[in-house]
Amino acid sequence: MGCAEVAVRLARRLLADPERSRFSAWGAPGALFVVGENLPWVEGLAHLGRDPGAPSLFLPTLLEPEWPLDLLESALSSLGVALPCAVLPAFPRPAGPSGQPFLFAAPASGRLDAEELELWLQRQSEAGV
Amino acid sequence: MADSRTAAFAATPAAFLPESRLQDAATSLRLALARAAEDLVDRRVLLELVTLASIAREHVLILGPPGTAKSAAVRRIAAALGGRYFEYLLGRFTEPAEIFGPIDLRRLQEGVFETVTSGMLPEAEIAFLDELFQGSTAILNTLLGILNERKFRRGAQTLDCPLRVVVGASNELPSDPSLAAFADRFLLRHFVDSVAAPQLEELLEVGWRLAEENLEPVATLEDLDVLAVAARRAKLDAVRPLIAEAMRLLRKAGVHLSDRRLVKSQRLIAGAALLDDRLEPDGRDLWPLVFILPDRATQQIGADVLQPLLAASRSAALSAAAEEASGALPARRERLRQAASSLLEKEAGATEIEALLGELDAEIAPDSRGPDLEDLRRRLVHRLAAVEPAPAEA
Repeated sequence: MGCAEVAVRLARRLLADPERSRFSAWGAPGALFVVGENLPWVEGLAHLGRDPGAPSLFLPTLLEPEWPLDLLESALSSLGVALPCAVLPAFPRPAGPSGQPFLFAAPASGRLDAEELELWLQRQSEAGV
Repeated sequence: MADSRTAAFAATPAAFLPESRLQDAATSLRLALARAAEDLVDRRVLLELVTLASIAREHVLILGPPGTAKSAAVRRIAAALGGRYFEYLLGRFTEPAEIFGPIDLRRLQEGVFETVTSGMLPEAEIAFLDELFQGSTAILNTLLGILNERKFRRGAQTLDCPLRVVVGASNELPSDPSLAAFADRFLLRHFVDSVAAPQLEELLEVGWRLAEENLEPVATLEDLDVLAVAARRAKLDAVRPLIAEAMRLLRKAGVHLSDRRLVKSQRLIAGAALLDDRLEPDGRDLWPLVFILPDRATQQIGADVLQPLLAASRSAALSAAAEEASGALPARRERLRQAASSLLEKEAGATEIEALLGELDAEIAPDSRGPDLEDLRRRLVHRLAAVEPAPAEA
């Protein structure tokens, strides 16, 4: 997953990949979430993985969770959060408070194709990212 | 039948083996491992455990589905070491003669019951027995003597076997208690699965090449024997309290190991240190303890319970096995360091470099990389930029 300027570089990297259809990408303001195998690499990405106990949650690979993941997954589901989703403990956002836990829901529909990725890039540029 | 040089080494105290000879042997074996692993996908741990078992004069049991390159891996390490290799697929109706050799009819006419062992298991230096637990009682009973004492006994015949290691394979662990007792003779246990989805392309490419390639010896059995003698006489004073502490932690967690397995584990630990050019094992070398635990679930429990003791685990020679057992940061760092060096040496393409950079960033935080790995990472990033320039800004 990429945030801010890393997300922009990731989007450009995806657009340059002729085999990008093997990935699924979802965008939010200042964030891009890509899922697949043999993922592209850019400097500064947050790498996420899944635990078998909570397969709907994408979690940072460099951090160890403090909470039982199956309970977290269950709680998020009962709160109406669309699963699967990425959970990051702190997310620097272009505007608003930083250091807040961040949930990025990857809805079943709404994957970004090339045209939508270009549109997403344009929106980031307009937002000053 | 045993090599006379092997007997000479066996009689030589480690104190009289020059350190340079030990280092040369370790270097040769590391090269042999690297060569054997080149054309296999995801079987590095298996190769490392077979090598370690050979030094410790123990045996390895591999558990996993058919068609997962178990025999290919053992064949390759045997070829890299130049050992006499014997391989057989056991079945319920396999006769002892198919493993140990036919009766010598000429001698039988003289009233003597002897076996012609030429080219058979009693004369092998490295052996692979697939579907091990399918063997009959007659086969397994005779095998016990070969496994425990390196002696082949049949009738009045007793022969010394030059065997360094037997690798047994099976789909699963036996539930029959009598077979479980036989399985206990295999100190190391390793569980393999089919190659993971992201590596399938690599498997297809490597498998195609492998069908055409013959591997030349890179090390010798003498190198194994030199380290085996040194392992028997290694100083374990520093590490014994740690092994005992590990056993206490395991017992507390409900994991019980036989005293035999506990005592034998010491040679594995000594062997791991020797392969890393260290005469005295320490906290870096405890990780083989995980592989002597009897089944997959227990190995996972053991790795979790022993995590504090395994935190320092590291092995340059057996990096994959050390990392799999311990998950320790030093072991992971070492494996990635070797992978990065290898990619830079062979001028890898963008796909391989991206994959390794992704793995490195996913597994090791920036402040944990250390100067070596940081430098290799920087060089990989530069190499990636050179082979695949960044996309133009919109």
